[in-house]
Amino acid sequence: MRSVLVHVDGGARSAVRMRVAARLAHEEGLQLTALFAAAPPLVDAPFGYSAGGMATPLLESVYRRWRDAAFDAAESVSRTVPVAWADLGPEAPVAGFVRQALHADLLVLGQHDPGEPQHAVPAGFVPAVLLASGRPGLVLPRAGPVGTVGRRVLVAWNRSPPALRALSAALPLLRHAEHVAIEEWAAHDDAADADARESLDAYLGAHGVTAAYRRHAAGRRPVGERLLARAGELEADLLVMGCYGRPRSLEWMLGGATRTVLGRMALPVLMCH
Amino acid sequence: MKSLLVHLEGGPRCAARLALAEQLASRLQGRILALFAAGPPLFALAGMSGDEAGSAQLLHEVHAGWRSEAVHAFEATGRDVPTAWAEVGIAESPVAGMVAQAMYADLVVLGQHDPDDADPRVPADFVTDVLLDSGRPALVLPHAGRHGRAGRRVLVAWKPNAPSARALSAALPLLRDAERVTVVEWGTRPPACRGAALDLELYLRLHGVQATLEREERDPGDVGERLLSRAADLDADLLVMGCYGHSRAREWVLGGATRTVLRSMTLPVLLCH
Repeated sequence: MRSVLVHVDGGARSAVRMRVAARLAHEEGLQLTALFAAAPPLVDAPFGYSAGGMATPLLESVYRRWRDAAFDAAESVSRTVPVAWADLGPEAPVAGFVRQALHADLLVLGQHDPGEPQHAVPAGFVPAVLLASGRPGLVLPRAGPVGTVGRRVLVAWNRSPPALRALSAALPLLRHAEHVAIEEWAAHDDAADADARESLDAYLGAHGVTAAYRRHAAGRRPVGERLLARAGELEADLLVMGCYGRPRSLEWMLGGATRTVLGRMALPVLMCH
Repeated sequence: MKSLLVHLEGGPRCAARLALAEQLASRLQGRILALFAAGPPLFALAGMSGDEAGSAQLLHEVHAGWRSEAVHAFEATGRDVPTAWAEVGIAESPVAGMVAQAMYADLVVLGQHDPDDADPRVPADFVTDVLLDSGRPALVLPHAGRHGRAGRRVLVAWKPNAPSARALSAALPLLRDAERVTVVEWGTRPPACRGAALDLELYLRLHGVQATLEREERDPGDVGERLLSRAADLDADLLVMGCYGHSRAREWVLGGATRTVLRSMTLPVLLCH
């Protein structure tokens, strides 16, 4: 991992994302870039389209205000590590961010906050970026302080390629962790389980990681909720999991656990598709 | 790239595949897991009468014969790198067995399907299925010709999407000490991003790779043919590209370039879906 790309959008959480990213960049010696990506708030403007020419300066001023706030957030960590600044300009934020993300090793994004009055990016920004870029993203919760990230880790495992990619991306963090739990929620058969368990142990061992494994029986409660509850029980400061979705016309159709976690997470989540 | 999973089916191509894998593992300070996986030898039943016990016996004998060829090839490898042996039983699907192991491998090494093979040991879609079901990076060796080395002169085909990014990431350990790396970007130059935009050149530089970047703007028709032709011009010994396909009715449908390359490859190809 050599580079981290942070999404800044002028909202209050941009500064939190920058602080977490800067700490990581400093610890791991990563190149840090802040990328301002926001869509001019056409829908939220008080006059909308009806004001014709009047709306434009208003939109521009909102946009500039966001950009200035984003820049301040980026600059606020520049004493810790050098920060490179990039600005997508008027380009559609998802497509533009994905294009840049393809050249970064880790993304830092913010959970969508439906309570915010103005949204710089669409509600589906985070999953769309993760799914289209295939890059690992550290998603920070929309509220609350973010202290340590990666001291007590829960890896949600399901033997799929996205889960493996997320685990793989998390390895640099897991090596410094005090406690790593790797847990599955599904019915399995014992013979196959023993093999899979052995392979997983060998993989982790080869990468210098010790983890405590546990399997939970498949239940009726949605897996996403169970993951978050378990993270709470373990007092985890990082959840690692695969990100699931498939393209469907203009949007992505998300897997249930992915959607639940992105909606309700209260801790940082490292996801990868 | 610590663990290489090498597919063995017995037969004449295993020795060369193991030799190349060993060379790469040695260069990358990794280790090898050889996995014997071969399908039920249905061709042994051609022309037999309906004697079930006899057919089953024959199946086991033929399969055992294949297995001992694979063991022989495995035992003949040098001991430069740590090696281990595993196998998929006669009753299991070779694809499923391979995919299960591939989950934990950093690179899977496979042999290109040979449609004229008089003694096929795995289904025709074996390589495609393993690539797409596992989502892991795989090095596929051509069935024809001798390919004793891979990764000295590398051609990377780049498109701005997730499979391409995964293939490039997977190949980085090889690219770092290659003699020459050429990256061909397809499609028109994307819109510029203001400020410190992330791009391929920066990505490669951060990862310690020196490369020549080229761009092909026009769509040449068959991209696959164009890639193989460019590889020949450059006297490349490794092609790196994304693997494209989507599932339809429980089968994989490959993208055009991927299909062409898997069918007509003249050099080892590293692909990732």
